[in-house]
Amino acid sequence: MRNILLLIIIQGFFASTIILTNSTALAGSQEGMGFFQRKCSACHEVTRPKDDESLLSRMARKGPSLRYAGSKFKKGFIEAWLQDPKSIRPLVYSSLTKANPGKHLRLSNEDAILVASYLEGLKANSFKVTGLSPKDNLRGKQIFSQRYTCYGCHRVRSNSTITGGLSGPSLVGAVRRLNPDWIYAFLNNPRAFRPVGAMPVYAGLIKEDDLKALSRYIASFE
Amino acid sequence: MNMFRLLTLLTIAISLVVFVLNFSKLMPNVTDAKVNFRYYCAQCHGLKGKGNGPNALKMMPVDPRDLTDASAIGKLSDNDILRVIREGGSAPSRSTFMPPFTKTIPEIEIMYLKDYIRDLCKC
Repeated sequence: MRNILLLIIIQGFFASTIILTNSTALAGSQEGMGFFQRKCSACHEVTRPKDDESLLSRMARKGPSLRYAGSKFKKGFIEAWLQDPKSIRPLVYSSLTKANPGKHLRLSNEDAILVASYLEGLKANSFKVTGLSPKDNLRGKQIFSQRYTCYGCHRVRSNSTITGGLSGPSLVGAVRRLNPDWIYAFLNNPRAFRPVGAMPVYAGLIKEDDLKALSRYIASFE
Repeated sequence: MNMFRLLTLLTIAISLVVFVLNFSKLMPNVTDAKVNFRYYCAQCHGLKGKGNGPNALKMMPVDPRDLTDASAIGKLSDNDILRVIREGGSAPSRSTFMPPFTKTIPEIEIMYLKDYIRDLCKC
């Protein structure tokens, strides 16, 4: 009898701990959503645009969509980045002529935790976690550097120097920023994430295995 | 006017109104070639097609084509231009920096882009 009572007390303790932890996270997430709506939503949208979104409407946006930030970014990245925001895009979003001045809002540790808690909860419906891991591999490198020359638009680190085009987001440090599974899901079906995008669609042009190799290669970028 | 004629005219009139109101939904959205050019091509070829977009950097092994250069573009047939837009630079054994747009831009808009490039080079 005494053992049963002890067991019930222990189970009750764990259950209340889980409920408390979850409700704390939920409260943080809701507070983060409020902060996001006040300070971030003028530039970043978190709802899916219409399927027939026009290029003009797309070009009018001031910042990238964060609708699937929880799938795209590695856990912890958003929180750290918001406290020390270093430009990911060399140019101002949607501009081909203005250099990014790097004046993104910098948040306190407390606010960054709240906003990150909210954004990490925003997941893409079509996103599947398959456990893809970053890996510097020859097949991915061949596609990235020769077959489709992705660095024509994306900055990358080559030995000790940074090289590559300016129009796309930089891939320097992708190993700390991007989920390999997200890279694959995006390359495999970009329209599932956004109706239109400046990056050409390669799905159907690159075999599935090669896409995985490419995704793992990009995900390994320092 | 008998009742039958009146009903027929009324049906035709209502059908016309419904058709006009839904015309934009029935027709596929076709993006203007200038907008497509600005969004996709100008990244490398520049806003005016002179080959000086933000990705045209000295560090790159190849310069994007100056699409206003009539002496070079004028040598290309319509099919040459269409093939490069659809399949990328590797199709005619040129630079792979030019990506394939066959899965990105609808075929009808690729045709209009070709015409737009012809306008740029006046050739």
